[in-house]
Amino acid sequence: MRDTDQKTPRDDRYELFVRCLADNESDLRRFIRSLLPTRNDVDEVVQRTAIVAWRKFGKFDPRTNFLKWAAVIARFEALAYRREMARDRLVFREDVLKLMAEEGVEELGTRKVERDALDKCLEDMPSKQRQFLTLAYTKGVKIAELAEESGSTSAAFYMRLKRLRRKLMDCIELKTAQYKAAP
Amino acid sequence: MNSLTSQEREWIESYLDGTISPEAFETLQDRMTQSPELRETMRRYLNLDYQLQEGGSELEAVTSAHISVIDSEAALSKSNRAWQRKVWAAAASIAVLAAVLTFSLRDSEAEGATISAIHGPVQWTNNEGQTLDQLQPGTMLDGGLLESLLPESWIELAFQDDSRLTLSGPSTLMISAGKRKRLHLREGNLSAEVTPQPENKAMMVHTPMAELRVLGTQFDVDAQQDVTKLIVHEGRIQMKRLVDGSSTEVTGGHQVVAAITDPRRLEAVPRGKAKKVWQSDLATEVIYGNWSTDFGKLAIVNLKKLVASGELSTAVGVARYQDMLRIAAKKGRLRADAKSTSRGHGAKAIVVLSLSMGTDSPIIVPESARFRIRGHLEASAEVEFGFTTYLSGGRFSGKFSTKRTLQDVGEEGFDIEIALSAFQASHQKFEHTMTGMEIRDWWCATGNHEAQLEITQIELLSHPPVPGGTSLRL
Repeated sequence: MRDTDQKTPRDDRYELFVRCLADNESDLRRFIRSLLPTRNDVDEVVQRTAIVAWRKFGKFDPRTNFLKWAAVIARFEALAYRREMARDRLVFREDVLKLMAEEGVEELGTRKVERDALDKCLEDMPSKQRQFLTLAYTKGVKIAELAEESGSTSAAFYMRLKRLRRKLMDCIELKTAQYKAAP
Repeated sequence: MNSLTSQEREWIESYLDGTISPEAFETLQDRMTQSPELRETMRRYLNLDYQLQEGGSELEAVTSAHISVIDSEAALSKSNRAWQRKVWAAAASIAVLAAVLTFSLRDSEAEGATISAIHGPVQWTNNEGQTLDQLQPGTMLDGGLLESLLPESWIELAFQDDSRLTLSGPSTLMISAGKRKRLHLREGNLSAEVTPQPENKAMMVHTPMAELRVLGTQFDVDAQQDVTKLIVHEGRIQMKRLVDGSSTEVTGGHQVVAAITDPRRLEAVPRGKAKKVWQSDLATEVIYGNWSTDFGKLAIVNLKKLVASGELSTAVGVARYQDMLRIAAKKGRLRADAKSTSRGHGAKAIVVLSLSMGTDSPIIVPESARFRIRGHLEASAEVEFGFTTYLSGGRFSGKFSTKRTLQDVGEEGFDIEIALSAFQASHQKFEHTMTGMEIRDWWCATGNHEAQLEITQIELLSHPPVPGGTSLRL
């Protein structure tokens, strides 16, 4: 009978896997988000990727990059998922998804400067604009209902959302350039 | 990115919002296959979209801190944000484990609620003790005390599973953060539309008098310290009376009352036949206001003595007591009680009556009707009169009010009639006809405390006024 306090090689491997996945989950989700249209799709493919990655973890060389290894699995899982969801009108075609995935793998882990820039841009944003973004990105909230509540139309609501997002993108671009130019 | 056409940028943004047309999406994808720059821009936008989505809670915390009167900008300190990131990291690890073990991520999510609509003074105190009184649609409430402060106030909350709650009128609801929906309605009115819940995660609603186990249904509950009334419109609810532990199942179209003054068997009864007239029963229906009567005080003392000596059984004593209350109600009066609003906005003197507490039958708004209101004032004052409606099949459906300046006319008091057509919807959401809706509560309020507003009787009269037939005193 196995002593419950005694670790097995499988336990060690499992711990290593969980640590690798936890360290890279955010970047992995970001990568999958670049391939699929909704948060629910991303949740689903992250779960599938985690399960497949655990099954294949015995073949992973810990001296190599776990994120890139997992992203390759995620790419295949996203493609398989795309085939199941092909009727959804916002799913990329297979040729587009493959291109996005190949380039996305190469960009993995390079978005940190942009993330920091976004934090700064959000902090600098007037509170009313930030509140508006909070509303628009609150999980489960429907834009049409929000628009109705605020006495606006969906079209006006989306227009304002686009303006703010564009403003954020411009701000991120500027700050990223400043970071890169800094000595 | 600058060499992108404005059309391409527009398409990317429409894709993010899910509003892109199929034709435009096809063209966008054609161009993406040709342009590495377009694909790069798409990924940058998707990256931004991802961060706004995933950082939603953190962003909300930042927003809440900004709109809080208490919190200073220091609340946005780096340490606070660093702590939030740690929480996010911990949550991510839990999600990873859940994925590996093939559990659903949704099962591990806490059951927070989001404000979907709000009107009037409503206050939220979270578990950290911070109080917010400038709440906005979209704000997430995940553990704390929610107070709807005045008769005209209401707030609608949406859970992630599309269950919806409306807290209406002076009401206090404690929301427990956790994996199941657990609500404590200390007082007031809660209307709920609950999507089917897992058997092991039933929504629990606790009131001072009862405990409700909800698996998916539509219901309204009125709770005061000594009485809880539950009306179920769809589905079924298990209700447990706390004073004796007895319980009953309440199904659609039925109602049940758990009251400290009523020791009878807890039993659900069908809702009565709808009525289109109503006469107030102040003693039974009062939710807010000080009810007083000179009638029967001695008789009540004698009644208690008879029960204590065993000459009357408790059941007979209670029945006689209720008879006396009914008689006394016709002779009593309700003095408006002070109710504070939110910080810095003072207090109002209010009277609130719950019509559903007084009768088993729904009171339906007739096509042409008016309220007749009688009472006293010590000084002239502007008084707001209002009522709350529900759809005939349940669900909060609006608040309607109107204002009148009443003159002090001495001992005789005022006696006014207000046509229903004079009442305006308090929110654009309710700009529909009120005819056919159920009136659940009635209220009046004034900011003039020196007026010492008192109500002695209210009637809903379904026939139009007879010209010159009633002498009204303003």
